[in-house]
Amino acid sequence: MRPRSALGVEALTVEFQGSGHAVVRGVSFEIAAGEAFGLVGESGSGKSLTCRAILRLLPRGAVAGGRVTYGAYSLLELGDAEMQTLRGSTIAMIFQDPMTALNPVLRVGDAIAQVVQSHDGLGARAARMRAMAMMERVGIRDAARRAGAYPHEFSGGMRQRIHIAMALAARPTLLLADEPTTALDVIVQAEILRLLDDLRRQEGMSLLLVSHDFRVVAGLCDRVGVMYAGELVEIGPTRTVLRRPEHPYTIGLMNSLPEAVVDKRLRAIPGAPPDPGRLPPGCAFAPRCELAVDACRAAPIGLSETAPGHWSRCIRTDHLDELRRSLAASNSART
Amino acid sequence: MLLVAEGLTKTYAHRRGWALAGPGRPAHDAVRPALADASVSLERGESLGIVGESGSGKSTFARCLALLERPDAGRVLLDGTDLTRLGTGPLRRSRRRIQVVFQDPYSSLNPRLTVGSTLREVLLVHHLVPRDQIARRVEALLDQVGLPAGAVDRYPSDFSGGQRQRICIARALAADPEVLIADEPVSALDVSIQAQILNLLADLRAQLGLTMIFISHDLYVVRYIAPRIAVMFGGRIVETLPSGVPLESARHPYTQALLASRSRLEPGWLAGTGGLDAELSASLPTVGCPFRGRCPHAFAPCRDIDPPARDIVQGHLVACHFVTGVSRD
Repeated sequence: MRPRSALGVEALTVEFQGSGHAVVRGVSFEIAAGEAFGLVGESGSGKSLTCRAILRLLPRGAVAGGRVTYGAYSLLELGDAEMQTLRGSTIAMIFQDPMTALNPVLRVGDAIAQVVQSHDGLGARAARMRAMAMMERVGIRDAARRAGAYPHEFSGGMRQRIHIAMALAARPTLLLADEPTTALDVIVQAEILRLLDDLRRQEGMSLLLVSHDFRVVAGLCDRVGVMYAGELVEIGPTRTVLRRPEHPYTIGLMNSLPEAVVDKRLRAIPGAPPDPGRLPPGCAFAPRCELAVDACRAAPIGLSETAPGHWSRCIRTDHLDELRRSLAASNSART
Repeated sequence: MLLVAEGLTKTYAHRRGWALAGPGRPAHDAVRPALADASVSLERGESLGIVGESGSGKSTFARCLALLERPDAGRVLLDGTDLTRLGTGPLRRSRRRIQVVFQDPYSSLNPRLTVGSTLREVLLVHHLVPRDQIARRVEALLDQVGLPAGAVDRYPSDFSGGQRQRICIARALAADPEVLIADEPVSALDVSIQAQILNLLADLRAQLGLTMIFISHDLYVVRYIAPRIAVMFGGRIVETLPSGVPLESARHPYTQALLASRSRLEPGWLAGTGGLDAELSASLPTVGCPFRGRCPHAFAPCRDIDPPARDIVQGHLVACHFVTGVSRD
């Protein structure tokens, strides 16, 4: 067994230089060794930046603050060379669009073999064998023949498999996945998610999955964090959060999904997320929240624990039952 | 019937690359049509949902219905007039009656026109209201789609994706259409904004008595807007579920696979999916059933005969030899 580590993210901030405001604001969570954790949020919520900050892959001009630890490493303080070694070998990442992650002029087998060679120091021949074995692991049949093909010769789902094979080739212990199935069709999405789930369990990897789709996270993750306007607004075990959400935004997100109900009106969240430069002084969700009172608008709201391991950034949790009822109604209509 | 499409077919021929062309070689590859023999009919005020994955032909179908694209074969009858036979002038006038809202509200608005100019242009081109009433009509349209009156003098770049989609809907409504086609109108939007736009479309349909064709890759989004659903695969309508028939009663193996693979807001849903190889064949066969390469029930006739759509119970159409039995017509 290789040593497994926990990922610790403490008070992480991300700010674009010169903007004067943070777009990730004090995000803290932990992922235990072998655990799958999901970050859910809409575009602009800071979920992808949080994920990229961990591997120090932020866009130009973005600066991370706070603390990120993986085992004994403090990732934000590591030298560039050390970080480069860690990236790929110990912590790997897969992206939404595999085409941007794959080199279009490299045969896919060679691309995977390169990863193996640079991280494990294997010879060319052994690396190629490993590459083919990896392709088979991710469900590509006839790997010997298809290793010689270029990325454009594969369908979107197959490209994502190759991307996954590349990410896992150096046997990382933590995998970061940023919207890995968003560009894929429904049936292919389910297959890729199943593949990720199987590989993660077999390898005992930890997983950080970032998605705008609560359902994707529900299928794959043990725990979930919901992000809004750069902050975690709710965090807890997936099962508990789905059964008894403790933040109005989480309930709103769940209510926004149309299910098998005809002629029943969706309970849409009114308005739009705030501009990160013009956040309200209190709860960032207050302007869209039907439960908001003066205290919500006065000062920032902290996270409080509503059940063991289940935290919510809301002071109106005693009044959530009415909102949850609409959820229960659509839940029962679904089954 | 307000809108009838019969046997719509469209093939995009890709020419062989110059390196492969030459004497003795055909100029075109044999390709499967993007849209093959698609037929639907809608009563005035009725809604139809079209569902399918990328490459299923659903957008080509929409474009042919709105005559944004000329079908290679088949007819589109609007109130009895065959639009495919109209010349450019009469077609332009008729096209006003079928409006389309597209997926990407960023690329489908002219960034250099204010919202007011965008809407005024439609009203002027089609001579829909007297000049002195244009301002009032623009204001009413903005109100109808839930935008503030102050939006008139602003540019698309001032608005978020959801608001831009409202502008696109207002522009479509400005033409006073009888049929509104919405092609993946919420796919580019965030989840919480999607619900707002879906509710808006449902309201407009009810208030204006619009006949609506709503296209999406998501079965449940489609069913929210439209009680009747056509499922497309490989350029064909493989199943039509009439209103009142639950999705779970779908019979076509492809529709069943879509349902089985659907993500749910339940922990552990992933474990219940599977059983279908989505990528056995990346390219679809040019003859026979388009789904046969991935179908668990495929048998010999599926290779040779494209299954015709058959009515299995009132209005529930399925194009599958396995479900309906093979017939020779």
